[in-house]
Amino acid sequence: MFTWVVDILVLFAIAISLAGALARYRGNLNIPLGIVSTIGFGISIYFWYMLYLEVQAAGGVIVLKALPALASSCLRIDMLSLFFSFLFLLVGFVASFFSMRYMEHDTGHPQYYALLLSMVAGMVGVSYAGDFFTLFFFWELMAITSYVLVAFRKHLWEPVEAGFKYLVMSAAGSALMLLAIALLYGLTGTTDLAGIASAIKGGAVTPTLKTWLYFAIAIIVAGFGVKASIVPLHTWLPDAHPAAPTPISAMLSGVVIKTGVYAVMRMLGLVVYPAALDWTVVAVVVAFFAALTMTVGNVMALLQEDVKRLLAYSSIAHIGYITLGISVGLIGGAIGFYGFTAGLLHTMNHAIMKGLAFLAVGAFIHAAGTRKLSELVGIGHRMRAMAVIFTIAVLALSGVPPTNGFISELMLVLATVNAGLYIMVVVMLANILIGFGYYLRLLYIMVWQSPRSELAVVKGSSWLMLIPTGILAALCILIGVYPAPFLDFASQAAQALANLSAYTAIA
Amino acid sequence: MNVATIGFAGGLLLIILGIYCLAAKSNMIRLILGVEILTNGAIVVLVTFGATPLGTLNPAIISLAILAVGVGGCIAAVGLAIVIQAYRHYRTLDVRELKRLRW
Repeated sequence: MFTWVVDILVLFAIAISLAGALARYRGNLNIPLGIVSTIGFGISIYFWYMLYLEVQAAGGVIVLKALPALASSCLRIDMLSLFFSFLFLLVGFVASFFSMRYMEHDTGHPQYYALLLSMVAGMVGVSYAGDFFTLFFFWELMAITSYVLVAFRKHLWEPVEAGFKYLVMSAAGSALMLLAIALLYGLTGTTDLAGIASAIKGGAVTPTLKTWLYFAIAIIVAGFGVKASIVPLHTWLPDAHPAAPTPISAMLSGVVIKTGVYAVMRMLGLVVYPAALDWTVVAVVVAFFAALTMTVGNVMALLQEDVKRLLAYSSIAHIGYITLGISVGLIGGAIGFYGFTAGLLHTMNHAIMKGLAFLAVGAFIHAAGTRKLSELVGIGHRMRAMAVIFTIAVLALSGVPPTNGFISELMLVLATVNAGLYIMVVVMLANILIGFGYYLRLLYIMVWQSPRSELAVVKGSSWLMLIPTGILAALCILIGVYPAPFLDFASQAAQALANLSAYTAIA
Repeated sequence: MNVATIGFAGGLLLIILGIYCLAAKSNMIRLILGVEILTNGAIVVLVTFGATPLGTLNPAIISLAILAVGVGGCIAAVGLAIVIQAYRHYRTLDVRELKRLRW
């Protein structure tokens, strides 16, 4: 119905919840359900590849009627959708694999895996949506499941409190998004994404209505920006991401905030490009928020004593880097294309390395039973294989050469130089240096220092944790050493974003 | 003053009320209500725009509005479930008491 990629995820979610409800065995179902859920992600990735070949053969865009009864609803899949949906499925696969060991002491496994699968189905659906009905439906599927997953450990106070805060802020953002949809419909008379771009290009927005268009853009960026945690709207993130179970933290920090990035990119591309608005104004405003976001994220990360909270603030900083890529991209032309490519490559790299960092830290937390940096001193000595993987993740986050973080941060700086935003170059470089400060502190405390005596009981990590993190660590190194195919993938996605005439061509 | 203007103004009024409620209230159930008022304001604006051009209703907009009503119900359900859990931990509905995470 909504392509096999989404359908498989939904079917597995239904199957897992039914199995959980009907099973006579009342013991711990974590391992079998985890295997089923991971297989579901695997099959979904296979269908993603089939879809990729189909889109390539069709010349870049395909349109599917999702619900024949509702004529206005459709899926419109191009390279940008495929780029993001691949990240969602990859990190979902790894998080589900990792949960098999991590969630062993929790209860409610059928609900957990069903919610995880539904959340990824929602994210993939957002990236495939071709009209506002489908977009809103999948957006709320993703949002509501993520509220429940943040508050999943309801017997502890922290997840409940963080979940409530997340729900109120994010639901208010969704309401603003609905208002923006209403305004865009009022201006153009359609809910189809391609139709909106065509209508704006065709002059549906008269100069007297241009103020309303600016208003709609501001609201839509605010609505999606809550999910992407662009700075004045970020306050839920450092509470919600650490409070969730660690595989869910990896999902939230790695890819759920990227859904916001996708939506902001798509909306700006659809509305701002064809409307022939004043480029430099929009680009400078976005660049201002990018600078604010990366600075706040990095400075706050310096002050944290909780390792997951530190990584959550570092996610805000990286969203700032990606937003800088978007702002350069908004300039248009060859310079903008390079900026979008750099931003998209950093999106991919950040999803991989932040997911990896959260999972590796999760393995430490699972073994040591604490999240405080002062109590995790030297844990790397007790879990050497995981320490190597954690070191790769942290070096990639700080942008050290043989890893993927270096490639995309270099590209972002070069793109900013190309665009002539020299102040932003200085801000970005200063932020990368601040980032070095806390990443090296993290490595020094957790891997370098000699272990505390309380950690003597900690044993090495299990294969069920080493395999999924190993996959991501190998990708970190691979993209750093041989970036050509990934760069090509990112530039195809940027091409799809910039080339609106192809997106709107098929009705 | 025609129907469209009244609908649009009413929707915006509801949105402002919702934002005020989110900013000024400290009771958790009132915060959930604020979110619902905000969503309903957006739905009213949506339906107003969907109804205006020819005096007929656009089915695309009506289906979106009905979906949004359902989603609002889901958010209320999840939100109130979290409120119940928070009440069991803190024995209060005042978010100012939930300050272990620095609101």
